[in-house]
Amino acid sequence: MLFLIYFLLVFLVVGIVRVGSRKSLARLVVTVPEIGTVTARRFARSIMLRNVGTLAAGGVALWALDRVNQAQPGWYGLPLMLAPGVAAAIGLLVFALTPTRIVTDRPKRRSADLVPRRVWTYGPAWGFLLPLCAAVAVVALAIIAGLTASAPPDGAFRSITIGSRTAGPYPGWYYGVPLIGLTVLLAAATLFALGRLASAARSEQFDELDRAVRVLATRVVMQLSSGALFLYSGAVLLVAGWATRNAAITFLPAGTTSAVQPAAAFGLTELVAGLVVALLGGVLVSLSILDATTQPLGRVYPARASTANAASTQHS
Amino acid sequence: MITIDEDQATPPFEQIRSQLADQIRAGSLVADQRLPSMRQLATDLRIATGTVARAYAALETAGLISTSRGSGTRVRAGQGIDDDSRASARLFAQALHRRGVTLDDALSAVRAEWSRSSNS
Repeated sequence: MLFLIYFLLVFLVVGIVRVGSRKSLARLVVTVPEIGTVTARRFARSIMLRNVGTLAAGGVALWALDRVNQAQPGWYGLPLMLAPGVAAAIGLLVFALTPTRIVTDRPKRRSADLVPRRVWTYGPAWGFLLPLCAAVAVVALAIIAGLTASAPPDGAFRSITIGSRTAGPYPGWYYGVPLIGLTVLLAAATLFALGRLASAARSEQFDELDRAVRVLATRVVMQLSSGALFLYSGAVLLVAGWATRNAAITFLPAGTTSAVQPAAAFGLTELVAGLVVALLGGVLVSLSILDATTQPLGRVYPARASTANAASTQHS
Repeated sequence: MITIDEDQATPPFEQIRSQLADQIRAGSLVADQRLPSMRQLATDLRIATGTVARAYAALETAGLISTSRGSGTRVRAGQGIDDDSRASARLFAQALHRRGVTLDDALSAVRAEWSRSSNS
C-alpha cells in the first residue's frame, strides 16, 4: 500500500513537471533539412539507443543486486541499500563508454568554434550544484550516523542506543562506509560521463541537433545520478529515523509511551525528510527515463531551404 | 571559428596558428579569453591532438597565449592591435574586396608597401 502511494505520488509530480516544462522541451526538438535526414535520423537513433542502454544496464544491475541481497541475508540488506547508486554508476559508465559519432564524413574543409565545452556547459548551474550539495550532505549524514551508532548487539555498528534502549538497523559505520564510497564513485562516474559528453566531436552540419542532443544527454546523466543519490539517501534517512524513533520511545505497561527528547523528534524529522527525498529520487529517475527516450529530431524541411548549416530550432 | 582546408599547401598546424594569431591581433579573441582544450579542437577538426599542440606551442612562444594547469589556455593581455589600426585595416580590406582583389594579392600589396615604408 505504501509503495502504491509512493508510485502514485511520483507519477503525479512527474506529470506536473512535464506539463510545466513543455516549452523548454519543445526547444529541444529540432528540424533538419531533407538532404540530411538519413544521417540525422541515424545519429538520433544511436543517441537514443545509448540512453536506453544506460537505463537497461542500470536496470540489470538493480536486479542483480536484489538477487545478491536475497541470497545473502547475513549482509543485513547492504546490497539493496547500495543498489540505486551502484546501478546508476554502472549505467553512467555504459553511457560514457558507448561511442556515438554524429560526424560520419570527413570533408576536406572542416571548422571548429573556439568556445570551450565544459562538463557544465549544457545544463543550468543549479542542476550541478544541487546534487553536489546533496552528495556532501549524504557524506556528512553518514559520518554523523557512524559517530552516533553503537556496536552492540552484533558489533557491526548498525544499531543506535538511546538511554537503555537499542534499536536497529541503523546506518552506522556498517552501512556508512560503503555509502561514502558509493557517493564518491557515483560523483566520479557522473563527471566521467559529462566529460565524455562535452569532449565528443561537434557536428558542423547539424549544429542545433548536436546541441539539443547534448542538452538532453546532460539532463539524463544529471537526473539519473541525482535520482539515485536521492533514492539511497532517502532510504538511509528512513532507516535512521525509524531506528532513532524506536530507540527513543519506550512503551509503558499502561499502553502509554515515554519519548526521550530531542532524539524522538529528530527521528521523526529524519522519517519525514527521508520520505520527501525518496520521492524526489523517484521523480528524477522517472524524468531521466522520459528524457532518455525523447526523440530530438522533429520535422524535416525541404532541401532548398538548406545551405551551409543544416539544422534550425523548431519554433512551436 | 577556425577552419582548416586540406587542399591548401599550408600544413594544418600553420593554418590553426595563423588563424588564431590573426583573431588575437584583430581583437576577436580578447585578453584572458579561454581557448578550447587541444583535445576539443583536435576532435572537432578531426586532426591529431599533436597538431593542435604544435600550433598552441608556437602561439605560446610568440607570447600570444599562455597555458597553465589550472586555468587552461588563455589569450595574453596586450596582444591585439589598437582600434584605429583595426579600423584602417577594415577599410582597406573592404575597398580591395569591392574591387575583387584576392587576399593573397592584398597581402602582397601590404608587404610591398610595408617594406617601402620601412626603407624610407
